[in-house]
Amino acid sequence: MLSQEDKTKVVHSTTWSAGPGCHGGAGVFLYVKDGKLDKIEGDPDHPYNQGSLCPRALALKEYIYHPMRLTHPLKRTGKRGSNTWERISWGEAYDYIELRLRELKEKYGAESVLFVQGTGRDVGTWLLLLAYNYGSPNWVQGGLTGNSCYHPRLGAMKITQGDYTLPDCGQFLPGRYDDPDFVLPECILLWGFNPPQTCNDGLYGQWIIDCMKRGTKIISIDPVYNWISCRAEQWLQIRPGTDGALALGFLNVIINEKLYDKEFVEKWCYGFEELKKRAQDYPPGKVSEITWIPKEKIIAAARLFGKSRPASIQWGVAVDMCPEGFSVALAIADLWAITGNIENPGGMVIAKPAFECWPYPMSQEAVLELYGDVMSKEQLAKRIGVEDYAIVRDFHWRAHPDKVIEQIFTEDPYPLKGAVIAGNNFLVDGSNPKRLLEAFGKLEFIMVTDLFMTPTAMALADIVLPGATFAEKEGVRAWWTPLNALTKAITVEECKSDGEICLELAKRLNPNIKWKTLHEFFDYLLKPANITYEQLSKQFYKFPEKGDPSLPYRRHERGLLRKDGKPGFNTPTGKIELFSTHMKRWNYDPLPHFEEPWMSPYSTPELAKDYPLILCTGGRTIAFFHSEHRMIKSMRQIHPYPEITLHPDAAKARGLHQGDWVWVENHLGKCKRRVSVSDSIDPRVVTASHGWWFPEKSAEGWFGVWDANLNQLIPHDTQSKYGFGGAQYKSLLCNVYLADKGIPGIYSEEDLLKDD
Amino acid sequence: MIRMSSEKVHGLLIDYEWCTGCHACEIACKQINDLRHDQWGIVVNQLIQRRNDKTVIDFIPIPTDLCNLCEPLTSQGKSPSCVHHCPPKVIEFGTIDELAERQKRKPKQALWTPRASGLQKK
Repeated sequence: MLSQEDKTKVVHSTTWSAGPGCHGGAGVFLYVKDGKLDKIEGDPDHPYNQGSLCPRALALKEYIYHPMRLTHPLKRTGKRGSNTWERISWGEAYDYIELRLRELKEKYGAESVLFVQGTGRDVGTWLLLLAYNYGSPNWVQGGLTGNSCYHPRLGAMKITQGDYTLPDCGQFLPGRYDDPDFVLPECILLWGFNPPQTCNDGLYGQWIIDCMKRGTKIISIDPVYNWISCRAEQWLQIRPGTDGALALGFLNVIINEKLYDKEFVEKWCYGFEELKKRAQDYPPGKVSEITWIPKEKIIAAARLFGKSRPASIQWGVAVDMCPEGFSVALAIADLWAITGNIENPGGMVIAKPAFECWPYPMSQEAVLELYGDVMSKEQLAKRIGVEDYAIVRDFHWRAHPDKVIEQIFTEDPYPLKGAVIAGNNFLVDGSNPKRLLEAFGKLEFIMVTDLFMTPTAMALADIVLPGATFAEKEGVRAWWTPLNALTKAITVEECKSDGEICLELAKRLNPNIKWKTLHEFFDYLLKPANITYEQLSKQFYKFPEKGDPSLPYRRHERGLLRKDGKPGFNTPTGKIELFSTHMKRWNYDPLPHFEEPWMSPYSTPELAKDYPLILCTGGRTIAFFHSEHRMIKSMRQIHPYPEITLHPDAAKARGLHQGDWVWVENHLGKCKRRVSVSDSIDPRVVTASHGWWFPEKSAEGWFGVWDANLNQLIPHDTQSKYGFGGAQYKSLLCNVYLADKGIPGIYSEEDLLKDD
Repeated sequence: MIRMSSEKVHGLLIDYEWCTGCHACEIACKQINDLRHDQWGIVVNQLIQRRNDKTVIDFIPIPTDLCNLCEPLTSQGKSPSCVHHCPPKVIEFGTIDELAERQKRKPKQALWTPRASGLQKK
């Protein structure tokens, strides 16, 4: 549409993927003048964000027109990693990629090529389409040990509840908080999640604050005292990595004090007696010793949660990154189950994509629905990790990240020779990045799609394709409600979306592909909603009518969760399985348990003599999405330096002061950081943000990829015994000592004041 | 002494109990006013105070001398960009009379009258 005042074109769209970078789905208006983005504005009527936007979304123009942006395809001419590139056309790029992928398939089989994505934005849809049409089942989240980001939690929910749940903040009701069906949660338990700084897994962090403003009480479990902890009824300063013990301690109090929902447990839960018995192993006194949280606080928080109706839990990635992440997720999910806080207004609601359209497949069934006809059973069985982990085999839909790396080295049972990488900067964000470099360095062909030249693309790519922001692409988003269209507002140089790139390559590699255009594919995805992309893009978003089975509440009572149409949950017993029959079938512990971190002051006391501090990495900052936005000066101004935060006692003991540059070191590696001193943390713990590289440094030096990279201190191949969870990104050991100088060549605060 | 009728004087009312310190207002302002990297029309400040029972962390945005109260937007009946985009909706725009009335609703609110507010020195 044209705005009347200045003939500016106004395009209504949805933020998802590059730009803000996140998983979110804010409704926006994009104002376009003479083909260029003039401004972005939040849509006040969109139920997701109600007009608001985060600073990264508001910096969209700076991101889109950044001078460092990749704007045309590049092909390597010299040695890998030597920054020698020639500009080529898209036609040349596609021809070359097709040729190399066909060669690899003929020589080693299609399974020899990995399709590597980063965190879950729309790129997953497209890499999956390309991988399966090419014939490889090895779609993987590269570098993420133990799939330790949401997938352990997803797995735990799927096997015990049959579906995924998240806190009800009215997001499934068009009227949100004012909808007559909404009930305000009396209490929200935030488990390793800091809502002002991050929006995870389909939940806009702001919704938690909206509930707080309306009177919801907060329990905050966080090693850091922050804005949320300060406003919480209870703040529990946990020893990083001991979340499993705390969850079991809460279960102990809630069960023994009979605060659980007896009627719900009797009617809808399976294995309560077994759970009750297990919880006896975790009395609050013992849990206090493990977690460093005072016993009275553990009891008070358990009582507050147990007595609040309705109550919900929003959890963060810290859960997955515990040594036994999958089991920790089981324990936390039991908390909302036994208190009857599932499918109730204001509790935990089962989240389904609007109208059950699955643009982003999140189950084996959804993957097979899309590609069961192009991938043979024999080929599917080659998915890496299927032989090693029952959860990969029976539940998960991707290859296993640690097993993939192992197999690059062992070539057993078959060699891996190529990688198609999109939106993954694993040399910065993956665990043990030097091992990842060595592994991927062995591959014969690597293609990378990204928006900026990253250290990963620079070091490893043979061909680099320029990707697009959400403003430059068409798409469909349903994570979860409403159903949204991404509509294209602008074109930037020769940049293309992952959808355009992957569909073009998929068509070349499988001439019989079902969909010839993006719109045909979108229309297929949108069938359950009875709408075409053309129609949706005019309407921008569509909310399911009340009563639609993709919306809550109490669907287990109404027979809307199971394929057989019977009441109950979508599990083997039809109940929420506190004692998991799947886990029993797989010969795993069917009940949640706690494991002491394998690297800790207690499990490795000798190591702790040299490295006495617990290193908790990855605390979120709103300025960056993982390793993105480091070149966006307005975001770097918010968070200028790669910091490490020490308690004043820990700083004093080492003679360190605010602003000093230090080495952070353990037996595996070291990097530099700048000291921030704060009593918001325990003296025995240090915290540090992740994802640091320096686009302002030289390309030949791979943009200072090792300078501040904490992941060099994090081992690979440390997934939990279930294959899901682990890695201890948040609970390693380290020491900190003064460095003779900082990191040369990085932006100073003065540099950040200069326009590019 | 104030010459102008206060009905025409505008300001920003900030609820700093709920400002999370996300900086969205700063970037919204930079975008709409096309400010350089060394210019801000509003700045978020952090306040940390140690009460006897606990430490309180607050954030408070303060409009700078560059704040024009988004006159090009408000003259079309729209909100200033910081007001529009603030995630916890802690910034309100209005006449200082209206805002002073709303200020009575709860504690921890600040009423700012930037240079562009319409207030004039005698």
